[in-house]
Amino acid sequence: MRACYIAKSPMAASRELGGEMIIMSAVDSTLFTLNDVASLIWKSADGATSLQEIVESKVCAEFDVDPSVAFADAERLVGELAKRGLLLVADHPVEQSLHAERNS
Amino acid sequence: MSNVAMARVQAVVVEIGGTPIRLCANSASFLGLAQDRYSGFLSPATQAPINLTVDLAPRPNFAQEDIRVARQAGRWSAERADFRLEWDPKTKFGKLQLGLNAYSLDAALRILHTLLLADQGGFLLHAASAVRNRRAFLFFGPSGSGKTTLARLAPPDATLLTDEISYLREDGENYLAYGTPFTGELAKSGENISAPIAALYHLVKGPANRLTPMKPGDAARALLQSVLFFGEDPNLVKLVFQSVCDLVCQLPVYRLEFVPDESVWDLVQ
Repeated sequence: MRACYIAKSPMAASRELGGEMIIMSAVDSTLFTLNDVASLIWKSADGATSLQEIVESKVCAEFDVDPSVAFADAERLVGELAKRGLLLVADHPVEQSLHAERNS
Repeated sequence: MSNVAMARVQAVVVEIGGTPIRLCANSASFLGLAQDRYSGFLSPATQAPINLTVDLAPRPNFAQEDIRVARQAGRWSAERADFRLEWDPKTKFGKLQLGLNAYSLDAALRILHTLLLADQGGFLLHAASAVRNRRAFLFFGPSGSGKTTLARLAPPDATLLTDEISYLREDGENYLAYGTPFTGELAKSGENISAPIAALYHLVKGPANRLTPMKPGDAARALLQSVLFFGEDPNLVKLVFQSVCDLVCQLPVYRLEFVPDESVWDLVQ
């Protein structure tokens, strides 16, 4: 399995509001709302932790889900967010954006 | 040069949201237009921290297309068929080319205020707003949602800030709403005053008057649909997004279903 590291794109603004993670694309102002699992992956996207580690140590620890299913779902989510320019994906650690990303 | 010519007014200072902007033009017609259009928002000052040099040029009087706003090397430009605005936030000087048209001037000033507000935790919102008991109430929604209707139905003790474009800015622990001259169907300029915002209402026409608190996420999504801003610049989008999120964390936002009669104002306290 190839390593996969994810980081929030500087072209995305995000905020957790009342337990909901809302992301806005700074490219076209489109809004996205993430579910609980996607929100956890998004919050863990620090560029230094691999996707496999995020799934194993965070998603599977918090949700009752089979690791292989969780990893496949996470890969689909990451692909979707990357396609929309919201996530940066690499096979090596990614420098986390210095742009503001705040959670309330 | 005669004394009369030397004494001719060459600039007016328009102060909206407590932000004075000096419009300098070599045209008495333009200055007259600006003085008429912003009569309740003129400052007696002759200087202002923000200066626009206005160049009257033959341009179409009306434009349907979207405004293109871009930033290059730190300078902003905004262009539509009927005007072109250039603005340097470092020097606080800009140029505005337009025809002798109040609508074009309104559009250019709204863009400039949007750019200025983005750095101050504020934004312009498609909303009617009014002050009652020294507190401001904002009613937002798209065209046809009832902003002008709400403004028209306001009780005598309410002072109208605008029936179309509201001006919001963070001010320490409060958010302030300011009156604007930007009018909708009511065609009546707002009062040039400000007040702390008490609540915001997302307008929805319904069979009865009903007030429902909105969750912060729902409120942010609804508000972002009504904010005036421009998707072309990522930093501007991010600033406005964070400002809206900050606001919904601090102020109550309600969904207001209403029937168009005076009783709706009983819910606005």
